[in-house]
Amino acid sequence: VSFAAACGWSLARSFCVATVGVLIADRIHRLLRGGDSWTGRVLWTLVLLPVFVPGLLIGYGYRNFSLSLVHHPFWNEAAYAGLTLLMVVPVGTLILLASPPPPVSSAALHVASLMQATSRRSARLSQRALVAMWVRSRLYATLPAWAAMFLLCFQETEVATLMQAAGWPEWTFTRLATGTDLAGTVQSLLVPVLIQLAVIGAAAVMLAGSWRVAASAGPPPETSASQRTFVWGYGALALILLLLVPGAYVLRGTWTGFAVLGAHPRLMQQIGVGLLFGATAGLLSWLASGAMVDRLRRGTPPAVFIPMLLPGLLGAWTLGLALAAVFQQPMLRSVYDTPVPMLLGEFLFQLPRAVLVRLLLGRWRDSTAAHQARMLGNASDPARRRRSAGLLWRLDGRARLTGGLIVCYWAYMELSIPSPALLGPPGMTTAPVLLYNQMHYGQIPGLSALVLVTIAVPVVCLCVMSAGARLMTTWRH
Amino acid sequence: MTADSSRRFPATLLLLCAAVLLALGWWRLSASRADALVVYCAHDLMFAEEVLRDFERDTGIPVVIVGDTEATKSLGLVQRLIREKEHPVCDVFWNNQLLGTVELARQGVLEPYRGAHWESIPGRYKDDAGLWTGFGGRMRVWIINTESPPVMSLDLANPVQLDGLAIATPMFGTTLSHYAVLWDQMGAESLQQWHRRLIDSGARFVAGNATVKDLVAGGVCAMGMTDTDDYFQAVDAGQPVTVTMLPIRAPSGETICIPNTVAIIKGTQKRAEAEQLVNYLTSAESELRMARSKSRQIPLGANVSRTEIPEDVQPLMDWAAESVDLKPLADARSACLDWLTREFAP
Repeated sequence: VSFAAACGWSLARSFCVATVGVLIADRIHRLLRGGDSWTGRVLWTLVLLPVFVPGLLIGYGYRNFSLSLVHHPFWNEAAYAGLTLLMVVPVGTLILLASPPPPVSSAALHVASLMQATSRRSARLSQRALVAMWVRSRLYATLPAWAAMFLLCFQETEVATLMQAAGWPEWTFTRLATGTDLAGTVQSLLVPVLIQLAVIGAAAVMLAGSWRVAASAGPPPETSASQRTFVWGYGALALILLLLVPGAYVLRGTWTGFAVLGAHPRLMQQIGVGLLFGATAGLLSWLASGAMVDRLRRGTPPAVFIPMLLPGLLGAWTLGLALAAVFQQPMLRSVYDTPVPMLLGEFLFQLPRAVLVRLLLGRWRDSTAAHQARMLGNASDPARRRRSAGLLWRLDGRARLTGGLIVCYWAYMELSIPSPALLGPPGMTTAPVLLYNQMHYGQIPGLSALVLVTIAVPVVCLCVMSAGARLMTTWRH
Repeated sequence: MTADSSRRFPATLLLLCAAVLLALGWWRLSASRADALVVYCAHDLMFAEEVLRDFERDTGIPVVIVGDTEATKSLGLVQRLIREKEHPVCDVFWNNQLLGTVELARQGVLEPYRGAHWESIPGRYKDDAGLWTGFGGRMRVWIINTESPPVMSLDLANPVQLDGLAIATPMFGTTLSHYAVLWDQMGAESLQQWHRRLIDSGARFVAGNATVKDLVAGGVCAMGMTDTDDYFQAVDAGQPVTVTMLPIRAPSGETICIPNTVAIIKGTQKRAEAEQLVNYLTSAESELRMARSKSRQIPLGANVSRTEIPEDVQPLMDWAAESVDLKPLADARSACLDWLTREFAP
């Protein structure tokens, strides 16, 4: 497959996935905005769960299924595109949920269309103004959501490699492995980078000047019974295909493969390296995103932050290759074998994700209540101050801790940047990277057990930390 | 202290503690690998890790292993070693094949060492100057499904209908060595025509020999070309593949036996430790151990007693004796790889 074909295929697939994805995400987000009942919370969990299912689990679960389609490459590509769609829709949904109402309301658009029908020429808008209004109304939140889904699909490598799906990352990886030097490989990224920049640019132009963090999203739209059925059906399908099916493969192998754990005493050490890596990079991204969102709230134009967010928006593979090329320059060569490039890469990669999580948290944060709780903290009575701390924890702190832990979890599960082929120094291979490399051998019971432990340990750590924080708050009261 | 700053104090303290803990973690991790022998290992880590951990335990020399993926086996590490030539990170390279190591020797990446067991290894499996030493080989073999046996002939010179044939992408690993043998014996043009006939006849090129094994064992493909270690995995798992092994033969009629190779990287700061590892891997004990492992590596050293070798490995030793001498094929490998790269990723 030529590079042009690989790139064109990725482009076509991403375009289709993002376009279908935005239609689904639009329906989901309408329903999710609708209410705060227990069914609403179940739906939230159902729809957002794929965000936390690591790519290595999905790729591992579907590796053999993909092999069974070796004589039917089209169906294999279709299966991969379908899984990618399920993986990216939650992100599109979150962006739609985080978006403020469009600067041009539907009512304004309707009035404009009525004005076009009038006989008074002076009352009519120009065609250009009408199109601009339509874009600012209809595509205001949709385009950024589409762009995010397009980028995620365009950059996806983890599942694609295990399912042997074609695309530009696989092409560049092959060239790198067969001897093209790093500089040459980075040069070949020019076209994919330009494509991504065009998509990011379109979304940025749409948001420029009118983005308001935590602005009101308006009243929840009405939803029909068929829409609700569709969203619930979609949620169930995503849960089954992205979590239950791969999970079943892992569990099935785990029962017979647990004995292998004893033969891998280093696994816990590699999980430790992964946790250290995830915690460091995640924490740095979380702190930096906090500072960025804070400045956004104070009125700093979003464009100021684009240079910092851009490397992460271009994807782990592009970012990793570019940093590897930079750190292999003579001046920086001594730093290449340290954890610095790997941590810098992961920090930059997670930064846009951390910002999105912060914006979402800000969207649901009850700022008035938090302000009042903060005022209570100024009281001279120590009991009131303690109470203020407890309230602030519930209103603000708990969500911040959860957000930070989520970013750390994503960093732990990252496979490209800490890979020894890119930025991972010898002796610092994380457990997910090591297992991902072994997954090319197929679904082996022992490997399934290792995968289960590798995923379970950080999840248990997150639960323990959340429970610990909750206990501390209770204890303080 | 104002109320605001007192409220921020616990969070700041918590962050400070986290920062100190993380810094300590990184410091400890960096310190633990400072004295370690860095081994780039293209052999399957499932098997290699155990051997290297035993080396650690027996000698007290800590080892850091950098592996490769099955899909790019071992080419990724060979290219990386060439890139790192001026600033070597690796001390010892354990390759799971030979021609990539020969290429490294040609590029001046390796340091000579005629170890304690160098003499016992046959000439075709070692470098004359001691730049690398072979041990524990694997054969290229057919793997055939017993439930849906192939209808085609194994004579690939005239493929008719091969949509049931699976082959690993020949740019990597032992399949690249296999293609280099064909390139050398058939000539570039004939090989290219043969390769295109395979594609036209529906043969499937997939990522790695383990995938070939899975496709055949799963009945998706009727037959495939793989290595003995993958073949034995299917047999051990009771999968429906022929129990009688059939070696793949080159046009000359010779078999293709691809040894592991071990080499010391030029510029290593741990020469003495690296020599110990070379001696450890090429010893009769290690060869015997690898022959008894699930990967059934074929002992190549003359100092390994045949009676101690498992029964299912013994016939492999006879086939290995009939194998192509791979050492002179470095040029064929380079030329073939250039063509394959243009073919698969133009």
